Order: sequence, then C-alpha cells, then structure tokens
Amino acid sequence: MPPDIELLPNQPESSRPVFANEQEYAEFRESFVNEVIPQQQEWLEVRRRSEEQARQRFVR
Amino acid sequence: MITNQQSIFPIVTFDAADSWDSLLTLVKPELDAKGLKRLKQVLEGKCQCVVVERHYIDKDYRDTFSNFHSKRFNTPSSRCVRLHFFSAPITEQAVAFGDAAAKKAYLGYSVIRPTKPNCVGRTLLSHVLRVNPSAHLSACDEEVHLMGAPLDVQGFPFISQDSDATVCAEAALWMILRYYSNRYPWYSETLPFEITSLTADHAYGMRVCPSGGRNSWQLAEGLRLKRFSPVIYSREEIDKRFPGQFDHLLYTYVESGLPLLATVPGHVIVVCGHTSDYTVAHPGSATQFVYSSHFNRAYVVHDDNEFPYQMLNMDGKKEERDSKFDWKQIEEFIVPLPEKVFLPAEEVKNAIEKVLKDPGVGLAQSAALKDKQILLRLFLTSARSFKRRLHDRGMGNDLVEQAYRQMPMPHFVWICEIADYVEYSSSRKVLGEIIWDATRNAHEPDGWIALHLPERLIMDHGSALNKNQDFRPYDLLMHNSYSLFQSNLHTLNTQ
Repeated sequence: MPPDIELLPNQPESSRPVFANEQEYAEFRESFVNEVIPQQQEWLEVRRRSEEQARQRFVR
Repeated sequence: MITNQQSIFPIVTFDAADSWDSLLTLVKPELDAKGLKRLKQVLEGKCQCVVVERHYIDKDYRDTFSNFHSKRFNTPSSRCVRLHFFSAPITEQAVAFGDAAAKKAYLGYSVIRPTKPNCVGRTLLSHVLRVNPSAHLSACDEEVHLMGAPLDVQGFPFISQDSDATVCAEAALWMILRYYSNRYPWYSETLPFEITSLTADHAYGMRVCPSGGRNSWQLAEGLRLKRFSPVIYSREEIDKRFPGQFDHLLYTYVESGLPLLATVPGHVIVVCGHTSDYTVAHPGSATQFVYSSHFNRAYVVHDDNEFPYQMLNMDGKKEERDSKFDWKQIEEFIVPLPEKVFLPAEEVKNAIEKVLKDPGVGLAQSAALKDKQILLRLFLTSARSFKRRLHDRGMGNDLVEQAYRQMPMPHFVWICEIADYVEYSSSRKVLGEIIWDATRNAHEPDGWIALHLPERLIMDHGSALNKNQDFRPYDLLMHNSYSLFQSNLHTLNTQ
C-alpha cells in the first residue's frame, strides 16, 4: 500500500484548529449555504435577463 | 527622405522633406486621408520611419476578398500594402540583415486594404504606443517577416470594419479571437468571413452578408462556437439588483487578463486594459474592505471606428485622442470565459466575502490586519502562471511559497489578494490571499483551496488530493508583505 501523501511533510500543524470541532465546521457550512446561495440565485436571474436583453441589442 | 521609391519596399524617413503626408502619395490608392489620420493618432511623435511593403497578400483581406469582394462587378485589388513602423531611422540592410537596432526600433505593422471607407486592415502595434503610459493591458506576440528577416511585436490586434463583409460586430469579434489564437494554441485562428458566417445559423431572417450588423447575443454565440463559455452582463439588469456591481465585474474580468466585448449605444468595442489611480481616497471605515476596482479610472479600448489603445474614461472624453464614450454608456459586456471557468466573478466574490467576514476563520483572526483599511484585489489566473511567480514574489514566508508550489491546483483559480490600502497604494504590496477553485459550482462551500493571512496559512489537503475538504492550519512565525501578482496584464515596466 502506498504511503499517505503529505503536502508539507515534517511541517508541524498549528495547535489551533481551523474549526474548534465538527459542529462548528457544520455550522459554517450551513451558514455559507444559507447566505450565499440566495445571492447566487439572484445573480442567475440577472444573467438570464441580461441574455434576454442581448437578443434585442443591435450593434453595427 | 524616401529611399527605394520605385521598389517593392520604399522607406520613408520623416524629416524636413518628408512627413506622414508623403505616405498618402506613396501608398495611393489604398491609403486615404481617413486611414492616415487614424495611424497618426497612435503613432505620431513615436514613429520616425516607415517601411512600405507593396503587393502584400494579407490572409484576412484575401479571405473577405474571396468570399465577398471578388463577387462584385467592379472588383478591388486582391492585394494590400503593409506598413511597418520604426521608432528610429533604419535602412534596407539593417532590416534585411537582422540588425539589433532595427529589431529594437520595430513598432509593429498595419495592413492597408483597398476597401472604402475603411482601409485599415489587420494591425498589430506595440503596446508601448498606448495613449496612457500607466495603463495595464492584455497583449500577445507575433513574429513578423520583412524582407526575409524576423521582427517581433507585442500588442493587442486591431482591425477596422470594411462596412460590407464585416461591420463593428465582426471586427470586435476578430480582435478578441485573434488575440486568443495568437496567445494560446487551444484556440484556432479565425478569418473575418468565418466570423461573419459564425452566426449564419442564428440570423433569424437577417442577411449574413453584406453584414447589416448583429445583436449582441449573436456575438456571444460566435464566441461559444469558438470554444469559449461566454457570459453576458447587462448594466440595466445588474443596477436593478446589485447597484455598482456592473463596473466592479467589468474591471475584475479585465484585471484577469480577459479582453471582452462592451456594447455602447448601437456599437461594440473591445476592452483590453485599464488604468487605476490610487491617490483616490479610500471610502473609509464605513465599509469593512474595498476592492481595487474602486480605484479604476479608465479602460483601454480598441474601437474599430477609431484607432488602437484609446482610453475610455470614467467621466468621459478629456483629451482629443480619448474615446467619445464614458463608462455609463457601456450598456452591456460579454466576457469570453475559458471553458474550465465554471464559477463567474460575481459568484466567487460572494463566496470569498463569506469566508473573509467569518469571525472564526476570516480577516478578524489576523492581529496584523486589525485597524487596517483593507483592500481586496480579485482576479482569475491559471495555476501555472500563479506558481511560476511564487519564488520571485516570496509570498511573505518560505512555507507559503513551498506549500503553494507543492499543492495540486485546478487549471484556473480565482485569487483574492488581501492588502493594507496604505501600503498597497504606495508600493503595490499585499499581505495574503484566498484561493478559490474556479471549477466549483456556486453552491459548494468547498471551493476554498487556501487562505493565507499574515500569521496563518490554511490549506485544504482534501481537495488537493481529490478527497473531501480537510483543512490544515500552519502558523507563520515571520511574515513580510510581498509584491502583488502581475502576469495577466502588461505594463510598460514589464515588457
């Protein structure tokens, strides 16, 4: 079996984790989805309307 | 002085006896006063000598000649004249024998077509001729052969419409497509009539040729057919929902080295660069951070009705050579995103802001950034370009440089540099960055590849090894500011 790959071998990680525990990590992901996705949906609609307008915008 | 006047290659050296007007006589009937005026607007004062190449067979003009002009009762010549511009007087021998001074003095070329009312055909002028010396812009390389000797030029391609087979829509598409095919082998070279024909299946009863114009959706479709994944942004629609974001997005794509099509009333132009003014005041503490787009003041544009490297100012025309348009007249832009950029700029901006504003992992975690006026610079680049400059930039800490070098990354990455506004505005130095995977979709919180703050580097080992997100934090005991990433756009200092 090949050894596990380490991107930074022998480099000690920080004693301070990125998220204190699994629950904090899950909360971060949940709040990301709750905050970001509604904005992304709005942008999707803006781009769709932009494409509609582009069919009417004539250049020469 | 004109030498070799009767030959294929006459040379005009500007002096008391001969000036730009001598070209009108020498390059008759192809060059007219309108065409000469355009060339003078970008070259006058910088060009001292012109080599005229008569009987030049231009691939782009020959393409429209074969498909359109040759079908007329009264046909123009199938040949062109090509003008080569030099910043110093040169001789035939200096060019033919590859003299280093002649190579250094080369400013590029312009093909003069026998088409009226617009005779300026395929043109590539050096970007050192930019109207505003402080502008940053996209540029590609060409090797040009004159009298059998190679000459190099770096700039952004330009062509004017011939008003028959091509109008502004095709001319603008040609400029974008030629830039990409010159620069990246992934994109094939496209000749003008092929561009005219790109929209033939979507003409909806409109004539394809002579071209009467195109709607901008057809321009986007043309880009799609040439291997791009274009996105259309309308100012009106964005202003309704997200005021101010249209100009930010336009800047972000240009800063990413993605030249794009911008429509102004009844016309389309190419935006290929910009210039910023960091003496403009930071908006203050009312906002947590400000983007570098806030300091942008003008775009570098190629308007096929004008001449290369015009400036389109935020607040309109200031000098004779500036574009007659201003920013608010840009109604829409179409960005030719590469195929593997699934995440557009507005979506990555939302995602990145969410991470940076998070009290547990974001900017608040850095003592070095506390009380600083934070400036963010968002751009897209290839992982290859980003990695190529790691060592020169230093990345503030050896560990960061080593980590990024080792880390597998997607082909394209969004980078958001984090800087102290005061330091950035004086020395263009940054303090960290967040890297986001451009192949993610907008709904995934997993796109975050790395976050580098002055005291800490967080890397996602999971995505690097094609596994689930697995963040690893590393303390950075020593940290310096380091230079911003410069590769997407060319400056006069980095040519």
